[in-house]
Amino acid sequence: MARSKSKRHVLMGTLAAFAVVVLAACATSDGTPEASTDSIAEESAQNRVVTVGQNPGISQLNPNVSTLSSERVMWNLLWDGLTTQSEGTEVQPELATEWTTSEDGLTWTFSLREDVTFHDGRAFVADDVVKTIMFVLEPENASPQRSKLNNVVNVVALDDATVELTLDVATPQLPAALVDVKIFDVDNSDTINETGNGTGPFVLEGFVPDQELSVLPNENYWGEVPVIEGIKVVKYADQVAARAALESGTIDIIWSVAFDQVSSLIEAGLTTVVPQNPSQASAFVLDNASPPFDDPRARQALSYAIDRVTMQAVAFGGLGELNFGSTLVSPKNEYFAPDEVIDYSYDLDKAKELFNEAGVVEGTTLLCWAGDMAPQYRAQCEVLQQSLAEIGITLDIEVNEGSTWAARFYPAGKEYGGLIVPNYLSREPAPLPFVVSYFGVDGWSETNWPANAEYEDVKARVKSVTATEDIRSAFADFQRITSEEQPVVVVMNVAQPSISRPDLGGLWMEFNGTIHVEGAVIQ
Amino acid sequence: MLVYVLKRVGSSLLLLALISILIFMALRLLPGDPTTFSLAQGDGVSPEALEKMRRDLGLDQPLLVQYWNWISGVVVGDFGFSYFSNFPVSLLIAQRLPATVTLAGAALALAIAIAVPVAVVPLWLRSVWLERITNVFVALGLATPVFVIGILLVLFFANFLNLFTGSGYAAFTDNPAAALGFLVLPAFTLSLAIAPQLVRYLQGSIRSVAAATFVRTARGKGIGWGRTVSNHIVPNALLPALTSLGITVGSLLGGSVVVEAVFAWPGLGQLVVDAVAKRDYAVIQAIVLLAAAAFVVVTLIVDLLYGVLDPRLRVSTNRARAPRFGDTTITKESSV
Repeated sequence: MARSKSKRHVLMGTLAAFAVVVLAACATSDGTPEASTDSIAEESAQNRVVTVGQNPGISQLNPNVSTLSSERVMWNLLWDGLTTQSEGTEVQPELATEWTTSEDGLTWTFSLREDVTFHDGRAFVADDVVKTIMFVLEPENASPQRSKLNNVVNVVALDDATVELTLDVATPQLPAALVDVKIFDVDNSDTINETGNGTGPFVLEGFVPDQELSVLPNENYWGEVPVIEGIKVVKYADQVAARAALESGTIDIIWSVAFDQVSSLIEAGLTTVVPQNPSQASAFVLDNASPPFDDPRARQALSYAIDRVTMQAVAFGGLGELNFGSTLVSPKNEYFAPDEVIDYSYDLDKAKELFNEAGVVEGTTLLCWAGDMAPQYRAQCEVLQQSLAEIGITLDIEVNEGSTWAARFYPAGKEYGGLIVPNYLSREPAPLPFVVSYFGVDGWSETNWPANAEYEDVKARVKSVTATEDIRSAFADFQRITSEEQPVVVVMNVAQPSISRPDLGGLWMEFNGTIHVEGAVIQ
Repeated sequence: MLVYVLKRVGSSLLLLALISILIFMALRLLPGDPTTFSLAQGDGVSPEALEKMRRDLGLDQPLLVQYWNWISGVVVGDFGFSYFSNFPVSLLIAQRLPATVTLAGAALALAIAIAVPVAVVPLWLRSVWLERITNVFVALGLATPVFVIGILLVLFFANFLNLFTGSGYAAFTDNPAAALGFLVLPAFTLSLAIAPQLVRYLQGSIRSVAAATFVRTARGKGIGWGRTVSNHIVPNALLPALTSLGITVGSLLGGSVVVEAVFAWPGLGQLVVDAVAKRDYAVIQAIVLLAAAAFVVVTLIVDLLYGVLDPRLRVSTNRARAPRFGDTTITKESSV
């Protein structure tokens, strides 16, 4: 009797466990039992929360101290700038309605929208612009936007709806420099991660650092109120987990997909989101101030030793535009000057000759210092290793996690002679002048390249000229100098694509990889 | 008993103090610090900004001062702030703890539900072949990395069969059905990672109990094999297996880091992985110390519980003073 009772308990327990598993299997991500195919289709046709998966996540919400490219996704959700960039890379008014400049180009006056409120209901006024710009200009705040505004010497509010900026050097591209300066509630910046108090099209619903950001449409937005129910940005540990989530419908977008995954995702019917005018470049960074790469001939030799075609196929899934001129101007950019750059097509004889002249002889050992954040770094090192082996140079490869990798050569001024560092540089495309500021006096390039007087002159020209021909000429000189000097050895221009489900529209990407999801619509 | 408890608590506290020094020093030996990660992707960060950042974080102070500042806060429950989000570490932990506890609890329950029958049934049926088959699967389970198990389960159950959600999380308090749907695969994965260990412990324990004289006596009295197993062997074998619980908690914590990564499960594992990547010292130190504390406390509880259940262990600490053959004579002689 006791035994049969025990068996009955076992049987009931088994049935209960089975019921739990069945219930779990039937539960969808929103917790409702799985419905018929028709109702799922109906649901997908309606507006819903759009989920973006990415790695790394979002650590904090202040757009003016943000340093991670992964945080840029929230810039256009919670915040607005005085100006914004269109999909066609044109600068357009946002919180500013219009602007004028003095004849000498040193004084800029911005008229502001008067129908804008912060998410907490407070009216947006000119003083908010002044405080934001002052915050960005303060060196101790480490704002990544500061380098673009370093010509601003004063900013004042003329009235609640007018702001005046004074510069020490005429900067025609000031409106472009202001695109990434997002206006925020500076007086309450210590609670920004709890409130996300901006003026943008979405309001903060919840934020768990490095895990999840969720936003809802801002019903009081001065512009067009978003049509979707909300946006979630969820951190995924790696590409495999993100891809599995995308394929199972848990997320709608993967931001920044590994290059080797792209073709198979496209074959699976998913859509890529890439910039129209990509400026990101795959490059090898070298210490230009330490042997052996303090000799430009060694840098040129390395450029000749790079098998860009193989690297594109092996490390970048065949994507991108090869850059044989090896400068930070893409060959697809309208200001690319093919006649001014050296053709660094793969040539091991030239590489060997130049290496010998620079004292890098057979038997030399160099180190390729790769980060584990992106698989292409290791692949690039391996391709280069094979090439250098053919001319008697040994290339060791070390792959390290991000902080260990960065600590070896960041910030500028560190000595890392003998290291070849595959990196991914995101610089603004010509005719925007900011790329030239990367090198030389006041530059922050970790290459330690001692730019000459000619370069500084070109830099000043690029920043100040306004006529198209002058811009073209200045950028041609920039390309000539950097192609000869090779402060960084550029492999190719390639944008890290994002992938979305095919029923999502309204997504686009800036040249620097910032994805815009604020206008997302379900098609 | 009181002396025994005090000694165990004291040694546990000492162990935690040593762990706190170890984790603090180990982090400082790693290349880079929180400013490295901030600088790595920031354009035009000035030396003044770098200096200020280090000053704000207290990284410009001597290591002993840094350690004292941290540990004196920990003692009063202040774990400091994340260098990146500026959120209190205690808040970050509170945000993630429910997810990890849910996962670990469900995985432990599942692992026990798997391990006990797997260890007992071959004995019950007295099937050598079944035991051999079990051993093969146990060895396979011990040898297979947990992330491989996780990815295989996602591919099969989520992507191929479309039965469960491959990744994500919902709190039981918000949406129980969705929470259960999200929990099944990660909990099952983690349970498969720790169940083989439990099976091994149980098998060892069952073998030694099965060979005990009281089992022979029970059989000699005519008690059937099934009842002998269920009423005599298994209950007595579970007690020694209790000692493995501390080690199992360690495996749970370690395994949950990997499982959380595979299933985008927003628990402490993911938090600490991110913190290590960014050198967010305050967060790493707090989580490692809490994990160590959990491990130490569970071990302590098991030891104390074991001491209660098995009186022989309570007197074991006095063994040095217990009368031994020959000792009595010496004592007597000296007293004379």
